Amino acid sequence: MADVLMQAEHLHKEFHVPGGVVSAVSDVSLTLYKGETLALVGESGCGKSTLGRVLLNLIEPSSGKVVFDGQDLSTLSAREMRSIRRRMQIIFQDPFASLDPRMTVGQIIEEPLKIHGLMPDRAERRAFVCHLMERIGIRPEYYTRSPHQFSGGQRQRIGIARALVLNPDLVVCDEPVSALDVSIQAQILNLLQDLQAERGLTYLFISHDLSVVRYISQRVCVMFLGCVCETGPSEAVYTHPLHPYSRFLLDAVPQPDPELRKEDRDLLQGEIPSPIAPPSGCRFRTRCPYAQPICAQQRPEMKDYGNGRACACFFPLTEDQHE
Amino acid sequence: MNDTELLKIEDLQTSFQTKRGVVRAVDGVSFSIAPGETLGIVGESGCGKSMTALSVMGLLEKNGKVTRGSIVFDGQDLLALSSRQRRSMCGDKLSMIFQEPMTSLNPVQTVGHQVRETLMVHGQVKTRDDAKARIIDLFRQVGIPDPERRYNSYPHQLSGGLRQRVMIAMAMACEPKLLIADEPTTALDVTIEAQILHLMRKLSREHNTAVMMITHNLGVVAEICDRVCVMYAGKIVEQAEVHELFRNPIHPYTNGLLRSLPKMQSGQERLYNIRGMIPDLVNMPAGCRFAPRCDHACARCREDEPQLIDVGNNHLVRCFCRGEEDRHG
Repeated sequence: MADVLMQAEHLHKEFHVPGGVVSAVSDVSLTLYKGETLALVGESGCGKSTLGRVLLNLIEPSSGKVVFDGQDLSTLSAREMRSIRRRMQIIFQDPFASLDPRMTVGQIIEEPLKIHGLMPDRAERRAFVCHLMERIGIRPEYYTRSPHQFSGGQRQRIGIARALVLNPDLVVCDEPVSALDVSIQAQILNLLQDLQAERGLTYLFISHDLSVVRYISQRVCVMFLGCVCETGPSEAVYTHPLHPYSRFLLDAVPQPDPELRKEDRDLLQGEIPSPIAPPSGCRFRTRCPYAQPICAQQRPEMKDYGNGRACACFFPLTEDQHE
Repeated sequence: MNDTELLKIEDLQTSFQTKRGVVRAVDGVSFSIAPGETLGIVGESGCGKSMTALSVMGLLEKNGKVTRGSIVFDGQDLLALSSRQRRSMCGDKLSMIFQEPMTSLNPVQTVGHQVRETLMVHGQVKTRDDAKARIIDLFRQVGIPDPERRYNSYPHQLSGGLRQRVMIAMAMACEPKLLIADEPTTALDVTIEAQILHLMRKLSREHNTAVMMITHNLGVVAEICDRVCVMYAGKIVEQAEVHELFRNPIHPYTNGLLRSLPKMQSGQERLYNIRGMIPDLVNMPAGCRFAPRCDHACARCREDEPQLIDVGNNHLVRCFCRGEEDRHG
């Protein structure tokens, strides 16, 4: 197996809200290998974005630890943390909210360099930024334009340039194409793949869109209500999911092919339970057609199924249940 | 009235007065919907799909108006009706659901009250008690659990999926002949989306309600539509029966859209992408509006505008290169 870039162990994150405590991330452990794309998928409120931010230490975990390239992030001083931040960056979902409207495109992209005191020479910095802009598909002449003069797809390119200007190892992509039209989405996905190949980037790709995840990721991690249900190579999880939730989630996606209509296929019933009062035991059990008494009593542990696959379920799906 | 045409739109043009000039958001759109049929109108942002729907409903903003064409619904020319006559039709024979149910429900009234209003305005029920019984039955039909209790809930107490079910209950309350759904599942999670699509299909079949499904999602189109119109920059570029369209997409835009979608079944090496961006609506290119982004465009495409022509099987295409090539063999 490739080298480990980041490892998370037993991460928990709780938020205090009026009416109780939300455990947004509950006992999550995962490993990110150098050069891969690991996708976090799940529906709204499953904790995927919170987990992404906890991994970058943008939100401090309530307990558990994150090790990045051998260094435990919780033990670092502010100064050490800052130098390690250069190596991990994030791209946000909404390209309208994540760019400062009062700054020019050039200023937005070069700001990380200034903050980290890199390339103090202005001309050199500008040349570097222009070169990056060209690579990312924004004409360098637009250096002095404002974000509002750009479309959603172009803004997302600017956000990508800002994330890459420090030459990071890890980029967390938090729903980077969800706000974009299909034809623009394809442009951005291809760009992300090219950049990964050129620069050896590692991506943590957070998305609710299962088709996009299938395309971009080598490994996938399915989340439900703060917990990881299943992880494994994307191909294997998509063709033979082990966790019942993975299967229902994959089956629910409307396919762009009328021959694949799911007129009679069974749909997942009910709604996502409240994260303030999650069900006891397995958090998916209230919607799970296979639930047994034990699912209410005990929380299923992540169990290894070989070939890089793991699943947290007392009754994982067997070969014939996939038919 | 032709009984295969519940709604017939001909040469519809909807224009908006903006600071930068006149925008023709919908420009020469024609199609019809048969009773009980589900027609998909698909396209990316700014293609005019929502404005087509709002033109039918008579819900355009003040700066917008229908500047050409006709809309005939159930034998009546909607554009010739007074605004009062039109209003009485909306919610009764013709109703609409929107993308974000939270912004279309009144936050300070219970959902039961809001559905009751619809029923009483259109004279469907006489008393409050009759109304309540009807609404609880409606809530049950749209799959709202514990409908007696939900009758007294406020919108913020319901999840997004339940709010959309309330909107559907309200839209179906007077058993409309046509339901216009504008991105009804876009704000919902995928497992909830599947439930709502299933519900819409069931209701449409049980009540023979025609549906105009406005969406950007080709998966949703493939899942529930009978026929599809693909729109680009204010015009229909391709129209066909759903299986025909997905099996044999002819217009380079439709083809490009389908090829740029990541697929669930197998890993792909690389996605096709349509280069460039949608044109500025104030400053449309001459000739075919898709020509600047099209791999097949020739000199003629940049000068003349192609017409929507039937290439057989009721498959209409607006393209010089592909359509005629196919037609001539």
